[in-house]
Amino acid sequence: METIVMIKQVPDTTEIRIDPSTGNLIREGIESIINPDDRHAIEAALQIKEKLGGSIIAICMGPSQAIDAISEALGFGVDRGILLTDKCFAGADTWATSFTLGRAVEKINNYDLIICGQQAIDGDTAQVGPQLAEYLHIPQITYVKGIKEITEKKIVAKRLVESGYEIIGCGLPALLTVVRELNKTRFPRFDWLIDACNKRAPIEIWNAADLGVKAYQVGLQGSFTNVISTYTPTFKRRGEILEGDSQRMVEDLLTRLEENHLV
Amino acid sequence: MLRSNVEELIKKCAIRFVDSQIRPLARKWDENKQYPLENMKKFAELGLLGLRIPKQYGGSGRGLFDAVIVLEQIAKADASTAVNLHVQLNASPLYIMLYSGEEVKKKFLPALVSGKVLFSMAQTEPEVGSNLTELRTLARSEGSHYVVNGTKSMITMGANADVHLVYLRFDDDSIGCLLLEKDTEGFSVGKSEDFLGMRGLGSAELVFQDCQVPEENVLLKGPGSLRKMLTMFNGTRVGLASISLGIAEAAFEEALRYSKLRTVSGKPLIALQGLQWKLADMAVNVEAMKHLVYSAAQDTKLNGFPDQFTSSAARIVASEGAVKITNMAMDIFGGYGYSKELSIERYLRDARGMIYVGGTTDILRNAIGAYLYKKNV
Repeated sequence: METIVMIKQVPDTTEIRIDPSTGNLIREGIESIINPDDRHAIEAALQIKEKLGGSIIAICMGPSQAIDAISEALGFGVDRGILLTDKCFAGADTWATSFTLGRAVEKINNYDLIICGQQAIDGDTAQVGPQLAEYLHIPQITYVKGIKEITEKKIVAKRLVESGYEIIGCGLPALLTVVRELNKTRFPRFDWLIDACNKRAPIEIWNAADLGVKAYQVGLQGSFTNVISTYTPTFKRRGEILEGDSQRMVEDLLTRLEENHLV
Repeated sequence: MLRSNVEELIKKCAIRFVDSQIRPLARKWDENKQYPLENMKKFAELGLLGLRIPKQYGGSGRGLFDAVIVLEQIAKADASTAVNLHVQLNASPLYIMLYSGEEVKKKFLPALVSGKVLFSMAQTEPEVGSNLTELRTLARSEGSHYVVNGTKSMITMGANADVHLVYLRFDDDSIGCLLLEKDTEGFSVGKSEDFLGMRGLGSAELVFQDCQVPEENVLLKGPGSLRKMLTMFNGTRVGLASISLGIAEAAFEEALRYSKLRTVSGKPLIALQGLQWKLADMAVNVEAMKHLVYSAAQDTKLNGFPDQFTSSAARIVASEGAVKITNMAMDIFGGYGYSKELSIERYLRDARGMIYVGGTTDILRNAIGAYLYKKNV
């Protein structure tokens, strides 16, 4: 089983600061981590490898410091890492990201399964996985919370939906996006982390030329969407007074609780 | 070629592991005087026990500085766990690496890496303390083995280790050390210590009554052995210093955080100049400790080990500095710091213990004094 895991390096905080002039995230002074959902994607790949054998490649697109995400992936037991880094990849929207990742997958040209985290904590779009599957013309199962069956040829997975879950199967190759309920992640091994820092470690760095793409196809130039403005929402406590007799007020209260899925 | 910085990566991953697996349980281990065996299993699973073991025996072959980075982070949550790991990283197995035959290396080093064998380092004796030249535990030569008799006290992991590295006197009156396995006939674990702090050390008395030890388990014996052991201590001192550094950092960081949250008369504590000065002193001390410990950890001028002055200076400044800083942290927290609900009182008890673990800081002053006495000026 040849598995590719897509990982993203994100700031380790929910208190994200945004540059008001560019609308981009300010990463300085904030520790970077592998996106939490992507750690579950790595764990899923490791468990599949432990069951069926094969190998795992982790791909990360990002600046040069994203090498740490690749090294950490190797620390978990991933066999090979590829960092996609080039100045022209910067500022990519989900389409440009999916396209760039897709070109990397095409360059690898040998895979049975692609696993992505559901979404990244910095962008929260949940679009890159599905778009990548569309680009590659392969089936996708999103929001995977359990894998019921997997063989060299097919997969049957539990997919999280609002009212519970559904069971979906498809042939391979396919792409999964996984949610954190899928598994419990492990810690990276220190000896493998150390090996990952060695110049002989199985890590490759690919740029735009390696992927055969032009600057206008990727990054900010290749993006179909533009960030017009970004701001941190302010949350204010808002009180609401229910009126009417007791029965009416209780009914209204229950309706609101139900509407907000609180009961 | 683009690669991660190994020290930074180790530190980052150690922090995450410690936050998730060690910090939440540290109070329980302290309250129950519990040796946290589960940590050692986890360290083995994560390939950490082999950090300094050569690659041919399954380890990573890294040096003292990497060990210091990991120990510092672990000590920020639980100093006892850090000392237990320190013995595995910087003490007993290094003797095997440097001074045993190939068969002994093959027997014990891969077993340590996989966590099947854990070591203690048995030096202190009830009547002579940690003075190597006066050791009374005796190894008598009898054909192809030695017969060991004596008692060791306050031995870290004494009750839990599988193999004890025992410093002793041989019947030719030379000082040396050997490996004694826990299932050796005549060996027993005596009373376990009930310390004020460092309560997860598994510290206990070891008793040897006519224990037969095979000749190949002798690591050092005869001329030059004492010098080799003293050189080894230069490394262990720095490991211990990094643990004191970790305790001090934890106390300082918690005090700083608290000083910004706690308000008095509408102002946070840190707005009060008197406390600002206290916090400033803590920050300066922590920074000085860190530089001295890191510098000693990267000093390899004595056959790969730091020298006696550098390592002793690091240990004195870090161990005594940690007592000072945990005390100041308690002042910042006031009564809450004195309560067992928070970690500050544990940090203070542990910092106090680190003055004694591995030999008192006053003994190190003797060593520095002797060094200065001989030094040409």
